Amino acid sequence: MSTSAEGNAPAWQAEIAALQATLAAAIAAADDAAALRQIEVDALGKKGSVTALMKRVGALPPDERRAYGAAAGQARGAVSAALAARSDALAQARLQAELDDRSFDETLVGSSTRRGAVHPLSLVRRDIEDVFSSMGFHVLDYPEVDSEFSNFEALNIPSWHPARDMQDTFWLDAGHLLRTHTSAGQVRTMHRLGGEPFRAIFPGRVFRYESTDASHEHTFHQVEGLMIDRAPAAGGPGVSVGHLLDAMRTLLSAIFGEAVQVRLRPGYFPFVEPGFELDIACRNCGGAGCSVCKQSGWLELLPCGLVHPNVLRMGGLDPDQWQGWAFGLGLSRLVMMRYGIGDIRLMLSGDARFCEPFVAGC
Amino acid sequence: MFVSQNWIRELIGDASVDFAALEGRFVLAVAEIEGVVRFGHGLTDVVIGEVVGVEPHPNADKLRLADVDLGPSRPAVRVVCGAPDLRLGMRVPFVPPGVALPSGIEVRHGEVRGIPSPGMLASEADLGLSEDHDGLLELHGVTAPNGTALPDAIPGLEDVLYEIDNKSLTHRPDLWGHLGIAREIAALLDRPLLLPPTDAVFGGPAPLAGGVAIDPGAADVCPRYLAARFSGVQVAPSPVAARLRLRALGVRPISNVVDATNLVMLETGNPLHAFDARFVRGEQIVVRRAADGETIRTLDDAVRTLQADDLVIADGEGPVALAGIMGGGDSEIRDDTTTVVLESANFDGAQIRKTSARLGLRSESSARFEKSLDPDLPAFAAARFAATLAALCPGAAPCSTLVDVGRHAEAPAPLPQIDVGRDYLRQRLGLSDALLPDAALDATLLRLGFRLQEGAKGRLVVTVPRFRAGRDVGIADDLVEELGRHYGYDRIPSATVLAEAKPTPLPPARSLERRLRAVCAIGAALTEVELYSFEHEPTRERLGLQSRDGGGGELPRLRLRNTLSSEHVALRRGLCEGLLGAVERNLGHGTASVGPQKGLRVGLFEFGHGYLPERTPPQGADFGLPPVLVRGDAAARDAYLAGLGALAEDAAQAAANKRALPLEANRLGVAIGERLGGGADGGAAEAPPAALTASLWAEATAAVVAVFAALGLPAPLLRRQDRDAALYAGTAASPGCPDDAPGWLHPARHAWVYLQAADGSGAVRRVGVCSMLHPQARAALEVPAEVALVELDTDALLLAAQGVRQKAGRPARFPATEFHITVPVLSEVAADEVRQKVESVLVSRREPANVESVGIRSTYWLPDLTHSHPYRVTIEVRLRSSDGTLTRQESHKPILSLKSQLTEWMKGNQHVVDADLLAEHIAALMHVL
Ligand SMILES: [Zn+2]
Repeated sequence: MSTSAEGNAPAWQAEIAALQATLAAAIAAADDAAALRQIEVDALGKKGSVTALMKRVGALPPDERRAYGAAAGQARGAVSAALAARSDALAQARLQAELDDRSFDETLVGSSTRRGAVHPLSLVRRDIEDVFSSMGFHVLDYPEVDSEFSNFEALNIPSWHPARDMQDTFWLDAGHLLRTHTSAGQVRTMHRLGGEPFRAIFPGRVFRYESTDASHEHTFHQVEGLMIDRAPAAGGPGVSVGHLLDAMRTLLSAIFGEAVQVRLRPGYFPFVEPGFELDIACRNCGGAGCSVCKQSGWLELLPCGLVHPNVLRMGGLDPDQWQGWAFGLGLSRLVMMRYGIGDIRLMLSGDARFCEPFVAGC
Repeated sequence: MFVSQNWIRELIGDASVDFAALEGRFVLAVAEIEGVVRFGHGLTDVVIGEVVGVEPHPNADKLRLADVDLGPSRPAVRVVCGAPDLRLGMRVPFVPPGVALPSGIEVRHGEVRGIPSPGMLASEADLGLSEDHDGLLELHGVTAPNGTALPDAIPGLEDVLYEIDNKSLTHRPDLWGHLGIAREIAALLDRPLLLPPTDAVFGGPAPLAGGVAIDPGAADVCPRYLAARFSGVQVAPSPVAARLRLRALGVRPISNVVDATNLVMLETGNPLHAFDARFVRGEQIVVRRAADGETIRTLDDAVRTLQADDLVIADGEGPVALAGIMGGGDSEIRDDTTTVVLESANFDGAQIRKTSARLGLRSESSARFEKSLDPDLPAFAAARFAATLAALCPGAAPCSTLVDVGRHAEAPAPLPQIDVGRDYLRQRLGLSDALLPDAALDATLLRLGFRLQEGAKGRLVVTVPRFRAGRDVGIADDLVEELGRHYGYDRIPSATVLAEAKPTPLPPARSLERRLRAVCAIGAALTEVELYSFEHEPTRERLGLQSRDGGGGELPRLRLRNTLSSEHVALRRGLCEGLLGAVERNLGHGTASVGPQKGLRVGLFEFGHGYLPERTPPQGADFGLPPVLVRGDAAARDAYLAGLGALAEDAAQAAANKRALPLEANRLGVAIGERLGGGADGGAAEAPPAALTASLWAEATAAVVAVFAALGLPAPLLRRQDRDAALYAGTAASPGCPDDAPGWLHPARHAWVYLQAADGSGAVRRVGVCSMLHPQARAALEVPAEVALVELDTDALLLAAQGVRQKAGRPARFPATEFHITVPVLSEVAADEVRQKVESVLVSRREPANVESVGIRSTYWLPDLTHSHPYRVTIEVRLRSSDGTLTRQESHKPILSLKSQLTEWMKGNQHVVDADLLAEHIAALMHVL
């Protein structure tokens, strides 16, 4: 545009300079990206003012064309550069504005979106199944409605036994009943897996005809464990109280995730002989005595014992050839211990709030 | 049951037993100790006082002044006394001032109504010996001089009691008396047991002129009955030592005669009963079954109506005692009784338990008899009664023979003998010869009362003593327990056995169920619950949840024969009924498993059983094996089926009586509910907004789709029953499929869920149902809500999924071409039918299909429903080739084939699709693409 100072400068020189000046002012005034974009389209687009300058070159005398072309090209370059510079400046300003902004309120913490949950029984059952299957136990499942035979007779519980009384059992028609213990699966399992040494657990729902309170529920869950091996007379290692002790110590340590001290006391269950109540060292006080363990240092955990020969016979196994141990673990009780549940009735309450904490780890 | 340390000391003749050291061993060897109670301690400052003067209190009617002699070493005192039984000459405990008693009472130099009272005369309650406040503790039978300290005057006053857990004694009838407990402790300490004296002499005439007999009808439940007559009886309170021993053991002292029967029961374990001889009518006793409707007034003054299978003791005119449970009120011992007839008997345990349970009448006696006591014991107990009565009631003595009848008296059963190898006993315990040598093994058994003989080849022949012979010890394994507990279970070395274990994989069904649980909880954001197997009757009635079959008949439920409440009388056929109740409760107390959404929504799921009495578990079928067979590997399944043969008796009986177990269908139930309206104005009658219904429906069905996808199964087919009646009628339901018409099913808003065979054979099976809640049930909800329900037969799903191998996804390398086509269809056509049709047209083309997916994008109804094709379904098709980007021509081809084939789609004689409109849509589409 310095050439405009020459006396015989063509008219287009001033025109280009004027357009350039107008555009420069508009660009400087544009304060957002959209305005800039509009200016760019109006100037450099197909029908833009600067583009129109370029198109006029053909209408000029040939000797002016070269100079005109250079001037128009220079103008186009200058406008582009101005646009780019202004765009950068605006971006920089936006960035700075956001960085300077202090209106963000970080304490508006989101409440979680809807989430599901699993029942704590499912969690504990899963862990127990994993521990046992890793140690060679089959995980089996049996009906909840069962026969008097499976639940009682097969377990050496003859008709005179108090467990057969009405007060403990929900009876159905035709000699069927709601199983009172997962032990009802013992003889079925012997028929199913017998003939070779085996070990199996069968977790499930059991029923007792008794009124409910914070520590009693007519419906709860157990896990039965059964291990059968060849007797020494049949060339096997046999199954002894020593084996039972070791197995329970190992399995319970795996379930609790730390070494567990156990002891056996005499206990009477018709389907085992000898029968035991197994205690674990109180996990609250470590065995020193506290209110949880009534100062004894021990907590009664589960009944167990060596399988009674009559039960082996019912299972089609010759007691001279086969020996075994069995235990019945209160799954509901274990869940209550693990998660600090004080009222067993919550387990089957169907109250969504009860399960809410148990989200992960399906 | 309480056990007195003093009494145990007497029975093992060792005053220095270290009980503290013994407790741990006792718990591991014999029975659980539930508590330790101190009795009669803290009374060393209490002395014997004799009341030598009684005067009225000048300022109070109910108080008197007693002059008390305290022996030569203390001055006599005058104290104020409120006891009504205060009388001249009585000897009672005197508590000097400054003494704090174990009951918490502190005695001071006090003044009562203006009269100084330096001390107190004490009752049993004052001394912490019982709850009895009624009168002063009169020191009958105490010979020590006045002023003697109470513990010196009453031998055995200070005692420590163990409370033994009765549950741990149920199988040990021999432990229900001190003698049995002492026998165990003697064996633990390796000391002899000192049997107390039994030197009474019976003789003379028969105790009853009319005889003592057991009716033949009762012979099986009364193995033995002894009776004797005692004369010279003078009924009085027992000496204080005996009274306090009873108190210590939780038994109320009554009179010397009754106390004697109770003391012998506590000592031997055998309950006794004493009749006043004057009231044994007809001079005879018969043990017999009751007559139906016969009544007896028992000692607790209740009149009880008997049944023909109850057992009574009758005299010449009627029942005088409920055998083994409680005596009759008419023949009880009275103050003027002089002659007593003693009963010492043995009854069948089951018999006693049955009557006691039926009448709800439990006593110290029934608690013992129902354990089936040793039939040798009554003779010993009768002799001990004679000795004890003589001590409590000087001058009382037998004046008759001791009559002994019953089958045990005539011919006692031989004692059981067990032939066992010592090695077997050691092996079962896990003990070596070194740890338990023969001599130690034999000695343990001998200490416990077993007799031993050498058998063949070094075996032992063990004779079981009578007191263990009932149902207690009979086989070699019982001896394992005897040895183990006295050896000490805590001393048995553990023997590794699990170390060699090889992991056993979880049955596939178990792992698949875990996957479903994750899909429901994490994927579908549902909360897992466990609900009762019993249906809740009030909810069922209120909501009309009865389940019906195809013909409208109500389907049977498994009914309980004994119920805890009228709310739970039958087992559920499905899960949705219970889930619906749970949703209602959760919405009722404002629980939402929803996060910050506006509406109150709760979504629950449960894995559980439906109990179906009219369906029996099929065997050997591909679909719907009973749970026991479905879960577990093939080998286990076969082993089980083979094993059924060995259960032949049970199975045969089951078949004969049609007693096959019911089918327990493994189900997955889902219920998602949202509360209607703001709540207060009872929106129950209002219909839920269509958008809410659609949103719940979408959520519920999404869960079904997710479940199928998680198992690798083909997408489920969902169809309303009337939409495709031929499909419904022509498709078999899986064995555990939900009922045809559960009460909650909405006839117009539901879909049956069909499982399609993965092999593309086109085979389908009905395995479940989704439904909105029936409007009538919805109107009866206690919380206005809309609910979507799902119930699936998981056995069928898991069985179908067991062969499925999951594969990783293969991301495509070339871009997709997507188009939407809006199809105008007849009003009775469903969107998914259109989608299915489009898919079948595209996939059946001979050229490479290039069809990646065919989905429903949206639907809408024309406002004018009279239009011939008022329903518009927009289908979304995504094409993609694995070879390269599709050309325009390749994209157009399938669209053209859609045009021709959808136009020809007929239902009956109607064109399903409006051909002209479709052509317009397609022309526009071709232009854009
Ligand atoms: Zn503790």
